[in-house]
Amino acid sequence: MNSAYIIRKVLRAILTVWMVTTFVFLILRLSGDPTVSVLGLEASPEAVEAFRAKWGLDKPISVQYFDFISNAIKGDLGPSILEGRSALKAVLSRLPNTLILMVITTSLTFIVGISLGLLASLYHNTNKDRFIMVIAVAGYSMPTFVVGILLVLLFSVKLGWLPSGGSGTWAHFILPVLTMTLVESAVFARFTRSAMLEVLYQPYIKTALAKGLSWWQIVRRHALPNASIPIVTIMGFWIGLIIAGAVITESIFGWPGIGRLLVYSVKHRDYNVVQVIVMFISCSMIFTNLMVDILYGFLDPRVSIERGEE
Amino acid sequence: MSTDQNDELLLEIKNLSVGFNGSHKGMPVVRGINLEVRTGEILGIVGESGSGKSVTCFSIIRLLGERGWTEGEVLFDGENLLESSENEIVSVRGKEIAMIFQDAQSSLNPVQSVGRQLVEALELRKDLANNSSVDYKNEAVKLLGEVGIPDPERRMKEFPHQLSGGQNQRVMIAIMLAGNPRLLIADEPTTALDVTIQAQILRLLKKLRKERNMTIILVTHDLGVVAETCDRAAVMYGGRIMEYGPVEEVLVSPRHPYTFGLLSSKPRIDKRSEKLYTIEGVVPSPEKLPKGCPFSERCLYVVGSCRDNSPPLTNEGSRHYFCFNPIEEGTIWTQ
Repeated sequence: MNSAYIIRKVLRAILTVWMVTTFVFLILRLSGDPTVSVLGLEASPEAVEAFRAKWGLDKPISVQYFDFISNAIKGDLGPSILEGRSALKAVLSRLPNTLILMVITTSLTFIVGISLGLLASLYHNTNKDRFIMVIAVAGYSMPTFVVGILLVLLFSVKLGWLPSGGSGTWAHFILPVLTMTLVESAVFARFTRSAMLEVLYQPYIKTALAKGLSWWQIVRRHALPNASIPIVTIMGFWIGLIIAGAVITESIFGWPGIGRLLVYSVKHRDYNVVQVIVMFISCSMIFTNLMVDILYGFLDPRVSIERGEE
Repeated sequence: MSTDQNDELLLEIKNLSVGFNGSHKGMPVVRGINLEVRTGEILGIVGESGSGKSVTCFSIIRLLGERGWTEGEVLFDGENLLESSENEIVSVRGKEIAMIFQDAQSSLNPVQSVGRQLVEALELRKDLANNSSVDYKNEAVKLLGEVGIPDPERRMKEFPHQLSGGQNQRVMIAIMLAGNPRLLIADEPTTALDVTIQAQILRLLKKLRKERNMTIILVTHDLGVVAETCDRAAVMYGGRIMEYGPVEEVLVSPRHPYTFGLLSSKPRIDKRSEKLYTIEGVVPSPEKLPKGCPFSERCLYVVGSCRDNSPPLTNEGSRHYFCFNPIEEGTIWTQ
């Protein structure tokens, strides 16, 4: 882990964020502007013109893009057209809601998914294994919105135990968390199982047995640490994905986070808010992957040694 | 097979059959073999791939995996290892019987340092655990020195991918010596190595036998290795033992046509010829073995009874073989 390596990583990250933002910038502007959303269809041509001039929408795209980039470098990501305040502030005010949901779901998913996967791998080819895998296949075969809506139908509509949407009390957390955990831990269970099985059939497990270690000692000292290498990879990747995946869950449950804000802002062409959220998602993706890379150095000596020689 | 000398028996394999569920149509891979291992000897088990030699060894300390099954007895100190409890077999592994494998590099944990893997083995030793003054690291360095690793202090911190194949095999041997076992099973320990390194590893095994009075079972397909290293040899084919006895008898004047064929297939430095002798055909898979002698379909000396009946055991001094039509003494094994 030398400084040249880190600098290269950071440069690559900046390049990625820039490319993603540019792409979103262009796509959004090609698909219309917020005038109709804000002023309505009945607005007079003068009002429309005044609105477009106020937000700089009448300038050519190249000029808009240049303004956006030069302001962004200064740290100004532009205003939210719908809310009037800065787009960054609009996003930041919603962010805690998303983060708290993500932290709870992520921890639960890791705990449930990895434990089930471990259990299945240690009871490979037994009924326990098959049972867990059947549930897991069912879990990840169903899209989040189907599971979410089914849960709402059962617990909110039919039984009336839990609120179907919104936020405020602990009860509001249950359905969104349950929905995401059910689907995502299935993915983790399958992945953990295959990572463990891969390791358990390696020749060095036989060596560990021949040495005189008990099965549990082998699982703890050799199988788990080695299987954790691929599991950590997918964890990093997944944390990035789940933030993007919040869009669906938050929309189903009316959760006031950045996922729902994103959907709303895209619909109404609130350009700057969309750009901020997309930037945030790509930054979090890049950041978690960087964390995984650093963790690798601790988990797998082969990686750190190769890097040292780079 | 009877004991010819009054050497102490260390391990006795009686009527051992081994197979794997779900493969070879349930047919055993090893079919009712008997074998004795005496204290302090190096016993060679020779045969082609698929003859059942490795499987036999894995079954001794029950490393066959969940699909493997065994029948018969493996007696060690009078106790049948095949029927001992999980705890008992764990306490035998490493401490009484240890095993090294063909590919040393993949047999070592790639993400743990050599030192850590070695210390882990030492920590399993009860006699060391009760001694509070013991320095595991120091013991580990000593073991690495004993197996001939130069600069052992530095190597302790290194990882398997930083070492050569020969050094990894030495590390494996050191790990298996950590438990101070009485019997070391070496499953083709030199197959993946260069000839010069191979010779070094074999010398190391001989040295360990001498210095530690360790008993060794050496599995190999290389007759040269057997000739150079072993005291006695068992020749396996098709899951059976074909011939068994002191190396100087089995390899010099074989009785079994299979041993004879193997020896004839070896290139010789004193005789140049256009083409090496080969035994016609291939080793049949377990479900396709003939009813009688497994070698009968490829044997040049086959007689009527070979195909349908299992040849009886013939004892001839200290050597034993299973054959209806053995090679006569004095036949020279060249083409």
